[in-house]
Amino acid sequence: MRGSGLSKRPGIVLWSRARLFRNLKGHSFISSDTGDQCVSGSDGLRQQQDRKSILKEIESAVAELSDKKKMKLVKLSSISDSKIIELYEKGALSVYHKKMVNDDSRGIITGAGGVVYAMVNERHHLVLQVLRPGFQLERVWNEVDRLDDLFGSRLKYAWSKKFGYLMPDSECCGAGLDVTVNVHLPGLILMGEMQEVVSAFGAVGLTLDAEISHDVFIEGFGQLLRISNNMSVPDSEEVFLRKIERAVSGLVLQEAQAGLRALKDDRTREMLYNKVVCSLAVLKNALIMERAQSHEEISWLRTGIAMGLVEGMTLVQVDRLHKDIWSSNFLLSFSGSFEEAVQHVGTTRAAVLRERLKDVKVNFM
Amino acid sequence: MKCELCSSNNVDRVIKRQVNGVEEELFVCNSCAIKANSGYSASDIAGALGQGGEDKGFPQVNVFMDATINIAAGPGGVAGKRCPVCGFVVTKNSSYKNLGCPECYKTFEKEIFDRKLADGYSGKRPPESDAGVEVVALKSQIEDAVRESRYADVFRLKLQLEDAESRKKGLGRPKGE
Repeated sequence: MRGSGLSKRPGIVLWSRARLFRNLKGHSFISSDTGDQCVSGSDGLRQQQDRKSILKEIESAVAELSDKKKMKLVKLSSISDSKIIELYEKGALSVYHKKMVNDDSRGIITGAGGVVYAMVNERHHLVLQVLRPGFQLERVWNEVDRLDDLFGSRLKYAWSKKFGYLMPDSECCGAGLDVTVNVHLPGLILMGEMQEVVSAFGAVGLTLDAEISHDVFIEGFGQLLRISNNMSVPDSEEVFLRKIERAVSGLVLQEAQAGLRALKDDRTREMLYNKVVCSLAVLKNALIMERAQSHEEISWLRTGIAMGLVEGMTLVQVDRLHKDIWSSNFLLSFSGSFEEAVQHVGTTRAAVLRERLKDVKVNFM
Repeated sequence: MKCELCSSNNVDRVIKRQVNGVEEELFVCNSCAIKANSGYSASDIAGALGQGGEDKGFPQVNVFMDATINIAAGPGGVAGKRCPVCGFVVTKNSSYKNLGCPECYKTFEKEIFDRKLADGYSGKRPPESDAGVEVVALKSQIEDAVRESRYADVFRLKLQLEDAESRKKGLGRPKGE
């Protein structure tokens, strides 16, 4: 992984994330359907009490680690709405956990600089996570692995020699590792070669999908896709990560080649120019810009930049812009109420885009 | 017509059960009806489940529930199994996708293992596992050896530590696990 040269270069891989799902011994699982702990009778109160005792147990572990990592446990119910949206957009909060904001038996573990190390009482008792920009699988794995060791030495994980880490869904028990890589694949999509890529990834146990808002806000729009193992780890973690690394490296090469072919072919080049010109026109002139539309258009703009069709903006700048138009940026900086801020997000986003893209233009070759 | 539970004997009786509030009929043989109800006769079950007169029910609700669950569990050999900690029970064609607690894995160990069709777990082990404990012990022994300037021991222990760490990560052959 170290020698791949892909790690920090902005381009095809936007970010890498590793999550480890852990449940604690002596507590019931959290149901994946309802978010409530498994019903063993009709005692809902007892289940919430159990979640609270899990929270307390984890809080004690966090307290022991607070000196080393500046960690603290924050209850979801004590976080403001705007902050919740920000965490969600950053990918620090799953869509599932975001829905549980009013539940004081759920929380997050934060560290220095606002980094979110873990979610507590999400669909599992503890979900450790590390997200890094670019293709940094080895780094995210090493970091999440260290976090796991830190918590594992203070908490009793539900684990068995036969099944590995135990989960509510028996199909998912094992490593409890979910690896996700966000990729931008305009070349392969334009050339209609995605089907083969999806099949090839399926053969090594990886899925490639564009499910909108499945987990992280920025994925699933335009040509941004998500590669994930969906918690299935057939080998040991490190062996499996090497397999993913090889698969993604191959994909990066394929995408680069497909991009070149797309530019050589008259029909696809014309189509590509048309898409980029239209997207840039919309971004530069819109008065109101909603979240989904802005990401779709920016995805095409990014394609144009990656293929050298746009001048006045680099990939790093467009990725920065992508983050700068997150709703949370506008919500957090707005001085009025949350409801008023929500109404102003679309117009403020459009104004930012008009300003930042005023000197960007399509380079007709 | 063959019994819906064992698929070998002919149907002797019809029993009824409630699934999500909807009454469902099950055609079973006498022996399955008896086997499935933890010692109560088939006619008792049928009575308790609504056939043969409402006034023939069991005095204890729990016994009645157990009988219902046993019949619903079907012929897979798990009839009557219930997690002693959370009370999770399997139903016919259960997919084990929403288990109640870690203890369920002990209760339904064979069924889950058979479904996964796996050779066992080969990934990372927690600090409390054999390999994890060995890593902690070896680290402490290395510290002692360094303090006492036993460098030959340090070298040997470091090799052992590498091996134990590798096993903890699931990269080596599990030792005694």
